[in-house]
Amino acid sequence: MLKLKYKNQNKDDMLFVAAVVIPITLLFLFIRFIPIGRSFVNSFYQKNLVLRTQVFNGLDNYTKLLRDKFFIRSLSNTLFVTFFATLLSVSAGLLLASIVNSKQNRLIRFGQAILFLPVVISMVPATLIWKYIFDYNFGLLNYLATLAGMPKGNWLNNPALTKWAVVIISTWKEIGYNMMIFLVGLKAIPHELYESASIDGAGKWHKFWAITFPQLKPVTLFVLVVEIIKFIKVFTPAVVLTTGSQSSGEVFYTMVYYIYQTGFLLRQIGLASAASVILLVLVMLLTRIQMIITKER
Amino acid sequence: MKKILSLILMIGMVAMLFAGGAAEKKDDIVLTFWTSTAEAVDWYTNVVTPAFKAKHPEVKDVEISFTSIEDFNKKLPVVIPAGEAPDLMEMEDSWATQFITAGYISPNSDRLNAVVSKLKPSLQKAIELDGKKYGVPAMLIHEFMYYNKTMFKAAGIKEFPNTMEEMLDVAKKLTKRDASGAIDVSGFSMRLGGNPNGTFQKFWVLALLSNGVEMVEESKTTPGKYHCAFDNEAGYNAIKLYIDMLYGYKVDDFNSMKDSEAFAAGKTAINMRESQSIQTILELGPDLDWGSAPMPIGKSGRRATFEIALNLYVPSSTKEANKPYAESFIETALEQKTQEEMVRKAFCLSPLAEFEYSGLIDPRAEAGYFFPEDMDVYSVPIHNAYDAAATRVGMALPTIFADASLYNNPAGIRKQVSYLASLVNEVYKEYGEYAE
Repeated sequence: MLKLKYKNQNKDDMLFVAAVVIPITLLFLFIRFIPIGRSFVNSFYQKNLVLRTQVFNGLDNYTKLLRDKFFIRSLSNTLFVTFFATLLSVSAGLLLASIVNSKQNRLIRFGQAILFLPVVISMVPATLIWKYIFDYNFGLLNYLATLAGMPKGNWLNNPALTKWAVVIISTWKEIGYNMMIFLVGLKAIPHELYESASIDGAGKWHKFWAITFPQLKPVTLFVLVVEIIKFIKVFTPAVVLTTGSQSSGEVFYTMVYYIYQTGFLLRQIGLASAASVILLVLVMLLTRIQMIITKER
Repeated sequence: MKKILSLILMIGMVAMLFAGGAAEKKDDIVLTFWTSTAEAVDWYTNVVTPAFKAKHPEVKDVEISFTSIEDFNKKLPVVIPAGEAPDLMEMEDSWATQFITAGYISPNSDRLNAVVSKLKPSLQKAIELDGKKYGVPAMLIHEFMYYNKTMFKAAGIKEFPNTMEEMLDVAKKLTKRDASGAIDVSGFSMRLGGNPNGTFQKFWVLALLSNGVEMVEESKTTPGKYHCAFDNEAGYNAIKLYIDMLYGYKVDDFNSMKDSEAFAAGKTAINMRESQSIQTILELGPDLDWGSAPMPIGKSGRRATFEIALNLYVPSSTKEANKPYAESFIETALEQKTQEEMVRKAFCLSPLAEFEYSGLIDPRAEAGYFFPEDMDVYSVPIHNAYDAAATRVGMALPTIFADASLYNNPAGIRKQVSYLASLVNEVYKEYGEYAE
């Protein structure tokens, strides 16, 4: 626990600290903890957003979710995207950071900027561009597939392909961010460690496993936790890719999309709150598992 | 000292943040209006508003805000209970029920009821809840068939088929495939996903109503309570119709171009849509040779379509000072001349009891636009649960449509019908509107 030492500070400093910290803490409490607490309470009620009816129903919302095909599908889709997008974006980010760290020339710097570009593009326009690329009839991807003599794929309306489309977009959006974080981590590793290892005759691969990887552990943990939290909340690509006037077939339900539909379209705020609580528990659980695994290593 | 100054500066900045922009003058009258009907925005903006402002020069502006249907339906449950509703809003009748029950929309004033008295008697009944009238229908939407005359002529088909079975035979004949066997031009453009309300609405009219069944029916033992009406042979035939179209007749699939865009581009021979889509066809396919037809006769031997009212409501939260203006805006929208422009610009039916359409409608649309004598016209019931139940069914349908194993599989179809019925009944139970 962080202990602030006020002993040698004058009254002005304390007043300043209090004035800065208290409003932010209160604001954070108001916009974060109170809604989370409220959602937890709501999850035990059958509650309608418009009618404002509220009936205590214990764990009914939770059991209902476990019987709900849409929720199960949302959970499975979310875990799929989270697993593969985290795996791909973190490993690709690490690989690219290693390349960038090992060499520095104009081309590499240009590539670095290009890779970071998706991070600063807003998700909605980015997904819209991808939607054109994935389009069955007019998309670039199917055009290239046809040129290569491969069958066209319905990336937007076939659930088996749509989940990969969402993984591709999510990964593309995050690689640049992960690369930059890993790059900072790589630059912080003392060069002497590599020099000593070279003297001892260690090869590149051995250096990576014996020095780079352990030294990057805190950074890797940070990236993994951040990415899991980001991907488990996947929403925009799912909505933009699979809804609209030309949409056919199943909408790609993710947990956040399910919560959004249930709460605002179906107006079942109690059920949506229960799904939110499950999402929160899932995020906490996955983060904890990550921390334990990284600590053990 | 520096820290004290920074503190003062910070407080000042926060105060500015919360103060917002420059406030409007106190006596400025600005009317806010929300709609989700894209095709009507031009009419509201360039016809109703100028006519309204001519009557009320003291009104500084009418701020018209358009939100797509899917987002509008999600926006309202958040903003209306929060007291952030506009002065005036347009909604489909079924969406408004919950807001009326919750008291966010008050019963019509005498002034609005005077406007309502000029409307078709069926509509006067449709906006009534517990003996009170809510809202004023400004336009009516209904479903009919559009067909590509060039394709019909090329195939030697002289007129639009009269029955659903004949239509499917024609659609099968008109379906064109490329060298790989994929559909290039669909025979009939099917709604297989997207906004759940829209998916359900098309299923309702094409499959349920044509098979002589509604989504819900009133309980025989408990009046005022309802249960699913299609957990039977008619529901089976409804699902079977879609499955047969996809995997038997193969008139469409999940990959083809869809809806009015496909029709305007010559990528489908037949499209079922509301009257407003005339606008899309005229814009995107000006050279298209097209015609229209009423809904064909279904397996039940009936011809059926729906008539959904887009109603104007003055929410309870509207400022007292703005209420007379909001009501005047509604009066203006329902005037004979304004309604004529509505038909010309938005292509919807007029709710007025006495209305002359001659010369207003594109001759190509007339056959579908006007109801033939044998047409059964349905409206949406005023239940709190209806919209949520329809949405739930609309969410489930695409997965069922995508299941090719249901073709020639009566047991599989019946299982899906029961599943859909359970979704409907479950929602009605939640709202306390269910009885066997």
